[in-house]
Amino acid sequence: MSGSLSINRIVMDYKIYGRDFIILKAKGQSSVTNIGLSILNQKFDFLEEVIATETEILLKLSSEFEISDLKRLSEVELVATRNARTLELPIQFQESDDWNRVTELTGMTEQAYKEQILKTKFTVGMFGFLPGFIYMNGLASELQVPRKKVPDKYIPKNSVAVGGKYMGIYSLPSPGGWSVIGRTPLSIMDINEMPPSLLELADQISLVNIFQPEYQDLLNSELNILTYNGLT
Amino acid sequence: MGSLKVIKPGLLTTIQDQGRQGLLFYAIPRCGAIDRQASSQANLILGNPASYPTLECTGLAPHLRFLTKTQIAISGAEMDWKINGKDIATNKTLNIEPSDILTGAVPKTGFRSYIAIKGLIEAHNFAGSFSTDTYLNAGGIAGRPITKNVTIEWKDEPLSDTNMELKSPALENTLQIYAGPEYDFLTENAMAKLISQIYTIRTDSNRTGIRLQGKELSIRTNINLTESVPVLSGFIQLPPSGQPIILLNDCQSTGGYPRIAYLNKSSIYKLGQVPLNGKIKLNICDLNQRS
Repeated sequence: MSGSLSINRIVMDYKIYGRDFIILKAKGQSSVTNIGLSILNQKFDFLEEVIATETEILLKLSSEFEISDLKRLSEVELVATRNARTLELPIQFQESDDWNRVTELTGMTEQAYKEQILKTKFTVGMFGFLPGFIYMNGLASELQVPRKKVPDKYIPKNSVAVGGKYMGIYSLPSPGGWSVIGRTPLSIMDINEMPPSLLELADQISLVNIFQPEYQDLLNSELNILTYNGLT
Repeated sequence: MGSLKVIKPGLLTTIQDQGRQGLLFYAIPRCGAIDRQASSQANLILGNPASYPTLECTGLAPHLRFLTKTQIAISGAEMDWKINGKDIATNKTLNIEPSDILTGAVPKTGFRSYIAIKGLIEAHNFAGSFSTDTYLNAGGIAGRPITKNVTIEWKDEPLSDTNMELKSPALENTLQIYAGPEYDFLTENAMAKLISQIYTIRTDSNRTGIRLQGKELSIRTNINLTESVPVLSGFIQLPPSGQPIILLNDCQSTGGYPRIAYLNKSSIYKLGQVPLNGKIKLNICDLNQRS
């Protein structure tokens, strides 16, 4: 069964897969992650899970689901875009083979690339992939680097990397196909907290260049992205 | 407090319950028993709630020395289980005396066995579940598979004198699938191959995904996903290699490969009992004809 559904005047196509899940697809250009978060916050008893990417929302249905619940979805109020927080993320740029890729594929020098990315205002766009992975929007097209065809087996914890239109942070070690440009000494997740991500959708992030002694000091300080920015 | 000591850990033995829910938005996976039905069944035989954690034993049985009197029940794969060297029956309550030794071997049938213990196993409760997440190192015991010499403890509950005996559901190598969101990316030839060929389960499969090996499936030309999209366990992805991957409980929450099909729930449990190098066949069902 399929059709279209409007949540807060944003029209999406939906398709229901049996009693298993619903997929909502964005029709326009704007991201639907905030709609996903708004649905999640309702804690509907007819949903077991909500997953949102920028173009799709997947709703996993519980046994409670009935067709009339579609109406409850269309009545969801959007989470208020609260005064988005502006946060600084310290980064130590690192020598790596990935920089050769970055300079080759963008045609920029390493220095010019760093200058540009330090000027960029990023926005937390979505979660997903692995726990603690953050997708950030804002990368200008000249700074974008395609993902690797064959992913690397191991990307260390707290690596900052670029892939496609995103900049991302790997909170935990993982395989990955993005080009690593540096690392941050700050933790951006705390698995003892729910939700575990310390960042929220729409948070504004800018990179601040740090060097070795400061990197080590911050690492030892055990500050996280929020406490570093004077938030708790 | 009841306890046992691990003499040999087996190939991969983890504490799993029915899994955690509601956190896929933050990419925290469900985890939990792959054959949830077998885990529940072992608990129910003992009179435990079905949701209690059990020991999921994968591919090779652990050897365990019990330190206290208790009752256990084993469901799922038949792993040639013995207590003090004597054959025992699965799917029924077994009385355990202090210093009894439970041993087993490689599966004779099935792939995953579930050991339930009377009472609640002491494990790390992470986000509402005791299931081991070996990536986050959360849940279970230190978030890791059990190792030699580890002590497993549980809160004793009064032993029961029920003689409930249940049968394991029949093993099944034909799995039911439904068309996924990108099913129509497949060429007609690939649609036919998907359900006609016998697939082999590759040995690089794990709790994040079962990798299938068969004749390559192709995607129609000029069609591709441009963005990562949400995925769930049971989804069948088709990477460029043309060899499908069936996602399992520990999988990622998003992925960039076409979601050509997905398994029905009980077929996921059945898949959990097919050994590495085992064969399966996929049978597509019409979503609209479901009760």
